[in-house]
Amino acid sequence: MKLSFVIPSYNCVTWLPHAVQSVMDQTHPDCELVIVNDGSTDRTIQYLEWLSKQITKFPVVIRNTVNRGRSESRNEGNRTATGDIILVLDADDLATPNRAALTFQKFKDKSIDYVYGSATVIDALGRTLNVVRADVFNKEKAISRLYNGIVHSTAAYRKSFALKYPHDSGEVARLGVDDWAQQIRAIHEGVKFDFIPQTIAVYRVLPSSISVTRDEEEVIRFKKEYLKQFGVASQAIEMMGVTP
Amino acid sequence: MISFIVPIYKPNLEVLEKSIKSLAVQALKDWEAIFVLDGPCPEAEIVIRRAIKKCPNNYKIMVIEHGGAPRARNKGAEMAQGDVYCFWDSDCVIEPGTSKLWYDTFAKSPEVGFVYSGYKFFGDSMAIDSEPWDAWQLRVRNFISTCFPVRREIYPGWCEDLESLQDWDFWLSVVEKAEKAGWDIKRIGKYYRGYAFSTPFPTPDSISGKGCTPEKWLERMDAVKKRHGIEQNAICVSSLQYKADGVLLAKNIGADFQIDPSDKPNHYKTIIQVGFSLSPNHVERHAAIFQRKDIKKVLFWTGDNINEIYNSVCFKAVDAYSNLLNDSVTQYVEDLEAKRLMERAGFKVQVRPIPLVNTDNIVPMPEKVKFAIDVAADYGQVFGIIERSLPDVELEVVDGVHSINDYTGLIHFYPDKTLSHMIKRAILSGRHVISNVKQPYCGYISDKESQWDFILGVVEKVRDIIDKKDTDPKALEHYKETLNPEKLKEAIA
Repeated sequence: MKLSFVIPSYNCVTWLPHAVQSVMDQTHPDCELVIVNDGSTDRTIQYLEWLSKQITKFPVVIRNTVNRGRSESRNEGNRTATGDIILVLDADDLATPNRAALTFQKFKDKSIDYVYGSATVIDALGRTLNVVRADVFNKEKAISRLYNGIVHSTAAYRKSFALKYPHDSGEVARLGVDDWAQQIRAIHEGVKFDFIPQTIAVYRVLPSSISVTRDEEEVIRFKKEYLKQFGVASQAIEMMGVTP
Repeated sequence: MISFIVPIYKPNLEVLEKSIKSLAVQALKDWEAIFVLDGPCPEAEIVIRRAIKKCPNNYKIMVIEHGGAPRARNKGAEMAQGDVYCFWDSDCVIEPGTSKLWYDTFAKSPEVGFVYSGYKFFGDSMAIDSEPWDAWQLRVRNFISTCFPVRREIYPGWCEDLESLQDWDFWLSVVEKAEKAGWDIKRIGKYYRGYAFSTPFPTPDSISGKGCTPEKWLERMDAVKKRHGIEQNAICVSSLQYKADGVLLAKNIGADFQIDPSDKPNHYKTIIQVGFSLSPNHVERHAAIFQRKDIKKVLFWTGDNINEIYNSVCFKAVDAYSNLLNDSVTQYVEDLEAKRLMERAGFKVQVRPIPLVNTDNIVPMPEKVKFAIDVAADYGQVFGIIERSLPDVELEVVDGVHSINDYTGLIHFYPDKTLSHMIKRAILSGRHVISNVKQPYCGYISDKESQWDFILGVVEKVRDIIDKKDTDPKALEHYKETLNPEKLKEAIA
């Protein structure tokens, strides 16, 4: 069973090499790396050109596209991936060396389609700020609160899942909740989620990242609106807590 | 063959025996020794024969009328058979393996005319290190001792008229003779780090000890200078901490360079000191250089000095020395930021970058993009991250910038933020600079506000440079003007 790391990257040439190295450091033997350069203007291409000439531990597939936004580039990466399992990784985050191996173990259970885990949060100098512990995620939780607590760079799913639940563009992508929307859709349709309690990713808080710059109130309004299409009663939505 | 020519006059027999034995046990077999007894001395003859009895065919003893060491050396050289002469002192004990090293050096490098190193005193008390060969510096001061080997072709003979400093005169003559014969004097001297022999500490009545009065010393210096047409220089650059920079400044403005001019009597009218450390261990030596009342004093503060003032020097020392220096010394700093800091500490300073002319020709950029990194330890963590962000770029930590030509650019971050020599040299060599110095063409990146922006800024600039390799020709023009040595000369005249 082959595992594909998919990294969409837009203007992240400073951190992308760190992410790539973290994939090359994986202990699991059968991996592949897909990088989608989403029309970066910061000379990402300079680095990728060099990378394509390197002899790396795992095969690297590079796709250079025009800028189409985060959802589209992730979908593009997922389509390109040749592995059976797709591991999500953001260009500014890192995978711990055991991530692929631990994820692989979980997917031995044929019924599971989506796996996530705990993550460490770090700052610019790599100092640990806190740890986000993974917890059970199910339909009840999904409709009882607005945050699902899944750090996107810990997520992994089967290729079939990726094709069935592509990331949406538009408003969802602009607010950076495309991953959340995907998870909500999936859990409502009965997809089986499981989690790894160990830390399997390092999440870097960038002052420029979408989770810092977006308007949180707008996000909450959007999420509440989004949940209505799944038949969650408006009254229940109004009562939802916003803390994870 | 190496001929050791050893003049002997009133020897300390014990040391003489040690010295000869040390020559006899050298690994080199192709050698001879010519002992010239400068006035008869039967006791010495006995000691020589006893000490060298294992090599009965390698030595000659000649006895001449007493006439001084230079004459004895000349007489000995007449007898010598070797193609390399080494004028040995009878109280020097050679280190094992030294003569073999010399011999091999001459054998494999035809361009080398003489080989030298430092030496030390008996009992490991102190070593006098020499320094890499520089013909310019030999005309300012002697840094080669007598007892080093020279090829016969360029052996000029010893001047018998000088009272002392014959060694300086000798090496100057060697270089002059070689130059006339068409040798490349830039490569004629071969320096080996370390020491080649040990010798007793000079006694107070010896000529190099304190037995010499200042007037006599100056007289003797002048005699040698006159013989070699060396002009008396009124300006002397001095630096205890930044020797390479000091030498460069001296060459640029046509001054002498002495590490510590207060060491020996001199005629200097102006002393320019590069760097002045206020730390308790060094301040007294720095102050001593400015002790003379009748000279003009100029001081260039360096970034390190300024940092020291803010980090590790007590207020009292800063107060005391600011008063002292403000009274009598023209003080310069390299840029506005440094001026602000120094004025806050109470020093009256003016802004003037140390003049620097890169004498090397500007060579084309290296094929492969490569950066020289020179950053203070404070930036270590950040640069660890930057290095990982640039796996496709060659970054090399350097501790001197002798080879800035091998790099595309210099990445230079120090907390003092002054226009360092490294930066100047890089720009004058037509290379890129990335630094935290807010000066034209220094590739300024703020290291204060946010570490994110700092890291991103450096990575972005590096990638910028990879994209368009050539530097702005205006940078070179600007700094050639700012760093013009003539301007400093006008200012201190």
